[in-house]
Amino acid sequence: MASAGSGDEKAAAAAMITLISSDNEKFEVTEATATLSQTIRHMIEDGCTDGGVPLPNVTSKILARVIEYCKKHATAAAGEEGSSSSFSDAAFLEVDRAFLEELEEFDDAFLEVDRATLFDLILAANYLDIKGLLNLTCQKVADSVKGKTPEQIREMYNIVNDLTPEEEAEIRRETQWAFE
Amino acid sequence: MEDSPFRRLPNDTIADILLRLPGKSILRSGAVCKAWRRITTTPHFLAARAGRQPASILVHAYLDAKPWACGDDLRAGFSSEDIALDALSASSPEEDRLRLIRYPGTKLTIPAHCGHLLASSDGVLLFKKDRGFYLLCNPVTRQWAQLPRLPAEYCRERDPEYGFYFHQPSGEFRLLCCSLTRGIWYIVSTGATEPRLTNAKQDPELITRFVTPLLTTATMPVALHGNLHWPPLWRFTATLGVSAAPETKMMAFDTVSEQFVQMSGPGSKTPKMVKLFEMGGLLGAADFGEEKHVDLWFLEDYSARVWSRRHRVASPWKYGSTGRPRNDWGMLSVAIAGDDEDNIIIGNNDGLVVYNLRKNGARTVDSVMQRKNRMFVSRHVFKGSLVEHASFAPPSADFPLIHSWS
Repeated sequence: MASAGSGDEKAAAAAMITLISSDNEKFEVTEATATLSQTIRHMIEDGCTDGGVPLPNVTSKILARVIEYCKKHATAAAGEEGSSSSFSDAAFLEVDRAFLEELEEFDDAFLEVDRATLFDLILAANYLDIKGLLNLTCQKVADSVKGKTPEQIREMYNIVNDLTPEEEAEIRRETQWAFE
Repeated sequence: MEDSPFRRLPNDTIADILLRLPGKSILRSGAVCKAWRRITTTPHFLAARAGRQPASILVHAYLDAKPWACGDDLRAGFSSEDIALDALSASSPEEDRLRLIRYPGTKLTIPAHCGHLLASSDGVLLFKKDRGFYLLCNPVTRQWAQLPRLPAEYCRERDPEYGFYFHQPSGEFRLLCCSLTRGIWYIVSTGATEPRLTNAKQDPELITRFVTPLLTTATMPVALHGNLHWPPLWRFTATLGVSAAPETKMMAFDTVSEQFVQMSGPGSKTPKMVKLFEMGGLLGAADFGEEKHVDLWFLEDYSARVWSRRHRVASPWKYGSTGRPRNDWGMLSVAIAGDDEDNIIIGNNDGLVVYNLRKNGARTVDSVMQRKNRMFVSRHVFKGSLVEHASFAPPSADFPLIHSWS
């Protein structure tokens, strides 16, 4: 069952899209990979991808990473579609689980980037409207803020404290417990 | 100094990031800078936050006493134990455990009967301190409110409380009460100074055969679509037809018209062993009448009142276990809560299991089942909320006996 439909996928894979980064580098990707981006999916639907899709907000360095993510997750999506018709097949479920674990490992490794790259990826995911990538990267930043004091957060992310002392005192008075 | 990377992100994306934080971290992030303060206090953000808080069951935990600083506690008598209320999410009760409130376990903070905590609704806990004296607490925002103190003529009956709910049109928290001796239904509300009689003409003598007071009800009335629902108590056997499915009736209270209505219940043979719950926007009913399994019914179509049995899960209790509830009293200690991701937590201290209805998975919650941890499952369900309601205020000296220190 697992291999059923792979012929069709190969046919679909023939459709290639060219993505062009802000520094004019061209990336050839399959339609299945590109359409993880809702933004690109809409462009394809509107038939305006001939001659390549210019992405003036995304550098080649970041685009390469984004494509790496999409490639991996596009195969995952294809696998899920295949599995829905044969969910009772225990052996297949095993394969499925192993694949999901692999995907999780991929995501963890994918996030091993410096802070500037992480924020670039958030911006790209936001612009390209890639839900999974946006989720993944936003969660990573949220995890870094969790449990920290306002001072620690400011220091970690170079945020200037523009609250007046009065405002700050009021915030702390209102919700004292959160700062203990 | 290099610029903050956050300055490059649109506000919506910052909001998306901050929404992923637990309540405490969100409040802290509001003290980072003006922009974050603005982002975390918009009504949209607060509503989104409340919507994300997972459905949890409430558990009482008994702890060694802390030295309490408040002089009133000393006057109230020394306590050797503190009691904490913890929220255990339906999806991951072991990891996702939130301590809501902790207070010394003196006789005065816990009335002699078993419940100081009467109910929970829309992120707010209802405590009964004395007859006619109720406190409301949002443990996430740490804000408190009092319901108007009841005049003496309302305080003669022991357990007049039947339902606690958030009344959306007025933004008030309301307590539905009944006086059997006076034959009236009345409502105590955060927005009023006095109890108000309802228009409900239905005789309390009749209605209370179907609904039980908050203190002794096995299922907290479940609020959905502006109605409060009580589980079925009676079974109507069809007089005609041989193989007719068992039919049950249950009671609902329309919180807008303030009338009781009868509706059809799930087709259970043991209506007294049925617990109601809300899951993914549907009214659910769990039937504990069988030894080996629990049947989960859902009211698929609310207006047409169509119930269907969608799942049958293994009993949380081992075969022959003494922990399984045998009657409606046993049902008092059984908890059930479901979330929007098909996770449902079912059981009591002798067997507590998380089921995933989509993946057919089941996990026991061992930490609660171990006696040494001194955690006791309650039948209360809690969903956190950061909504700041009018009439709620930060803790003050007016509430000396219940503290909100974690």
